[in-house]
Amino acid sequence: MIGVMISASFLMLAPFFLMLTTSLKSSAELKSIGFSIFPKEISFANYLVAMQRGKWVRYFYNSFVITTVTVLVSLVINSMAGYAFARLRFRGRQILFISSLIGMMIPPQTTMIPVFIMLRHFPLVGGNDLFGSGGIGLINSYTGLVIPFIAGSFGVFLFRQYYLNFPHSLDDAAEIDGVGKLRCFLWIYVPLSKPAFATLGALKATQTWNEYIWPLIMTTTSDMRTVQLALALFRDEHEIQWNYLMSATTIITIPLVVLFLFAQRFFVEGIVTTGIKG
Amino acid sequence: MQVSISATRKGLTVPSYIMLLAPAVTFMLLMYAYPFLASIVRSFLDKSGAFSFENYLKTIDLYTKDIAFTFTVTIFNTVCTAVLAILIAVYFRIRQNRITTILSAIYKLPLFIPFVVVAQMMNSFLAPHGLLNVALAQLGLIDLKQPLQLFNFAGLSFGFLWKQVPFAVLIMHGGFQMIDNSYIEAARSAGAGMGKVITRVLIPMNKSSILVSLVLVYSQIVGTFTLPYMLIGGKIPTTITVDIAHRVNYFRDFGVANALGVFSYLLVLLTAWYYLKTKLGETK
Repeated sequence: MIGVMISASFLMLAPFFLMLTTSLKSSAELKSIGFSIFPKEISFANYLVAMQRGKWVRYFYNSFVITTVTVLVSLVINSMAGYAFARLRFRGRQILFISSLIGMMIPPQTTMIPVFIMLRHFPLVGGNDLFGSGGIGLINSYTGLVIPFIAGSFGVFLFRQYYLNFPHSLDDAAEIDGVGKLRCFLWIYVPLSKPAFATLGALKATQTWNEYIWPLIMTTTSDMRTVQLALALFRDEHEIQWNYLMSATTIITIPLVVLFLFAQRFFVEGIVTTGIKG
Repeated sequence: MQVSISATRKGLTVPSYIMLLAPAVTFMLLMYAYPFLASIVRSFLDKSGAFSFENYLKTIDLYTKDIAFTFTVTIFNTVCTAVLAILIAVYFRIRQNRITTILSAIYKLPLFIPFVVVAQMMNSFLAPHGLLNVALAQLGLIDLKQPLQLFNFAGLSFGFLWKQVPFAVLIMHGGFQMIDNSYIEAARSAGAGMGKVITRVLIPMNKSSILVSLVLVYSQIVGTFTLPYMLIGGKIPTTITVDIAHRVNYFRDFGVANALGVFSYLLVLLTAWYYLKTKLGETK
């Protein structure tokens, strides 16, 4: 068992380690024949060169805006739906909940084409008329980059599992005090939901920050690029500049690692508390 | 039935469950249900908009190997993820030592790395003279003159496992942590060895977490584009998602792309059917 664990540790760390060491190698070393694990000469300048190519302040700004809006809006609407499924009784609740779970199983890449067409023909925006013609719709807009990631079956599922763990006496006490369901959710359940918010927030932020395909098809201008798309600056038909690519990759990973370290306590608690019991 | 009246605007009353559910359900209908149904409908339309099986005939003619390849890659990696993730999560649950402390910090790293970066790292890590081949050569296991060729099923699987095992561990670990120690102690005092505790107590009691994580892993693997695209590209066989991109980018052929999408749904339907069957069984 220990052998498996040590092998697993090596395999988990090795590509990450390779990313860091490659980011510190000089271009001459990378072009030379032969492979060495450690850089012969450490070149921190790679990070500077990588960040000077392209408009990285703009790319980071775009990614921050898209990630922040997606996370905040999705936390609000997923927690509301999760609460309704877990604590309220209404006709068709079970069927609606199970139907919503199917969304969790649809590969997003396969629905991208219809979503793209729908957003491209969104009426009255991006030069489109009432019937969605004449312009570019939500292409090259933050709205178009955010909308597909706001609602997710997984988020609803996670909050529902979390709220199932609360005792019914909590609802009874609120009802006796004359607190309606909406206020009960806002005043009682939301303040008790830090672990669930941290869990979904961290997962959603990771997913949105790391998204590559959707921004690729929804943006056409350099100014709307996200950090993931900007990595293409170091890759062309003839050559990949590995040292700069890995320097930029290391830098764009940092915000997520910081976020995770910040949210880790709640995150682990959230996963354990929700149990994601199915 | 919950009929709590929570909002009153000019005499209009809306039950609270509708207000709470409406935003999420609306987005899900627009972003999941509509595209899902639209892609199915469009897969049955030819270029003139008439009903036809043309797209399916073309798909079967050109992409049967790729569909089989996608299915094999998905099943293989889901099974491997299940085995590895259960081993690691169980180890975290039953052992508290320095190794678990270190490993529990390390294993989450791949969660932060996007597939596009994973693919780039794997390109370098799995290359004929990359770190893996060099490490194996230094251990005397291979000759660097004949390095392992890993830009194929093997490399793809390595990339998927590297990315998916931590995610599965994260979810399973939560489930295992919920199991009370008293169950383990009771089994051990009844004479069960650690193997039996794992297979007869821990895994059955955490069946639903394991199931949820594997359903998610399975559908993520079916739908991943970046890793197969950057690792094996247009080589045959490749995955359905790469074929979809190929049909759209080079031929603007949305009909066949949608038909390929429907084959992905069919692959995912297997897990969806099993999952819903289990869920409905639980709720009865």
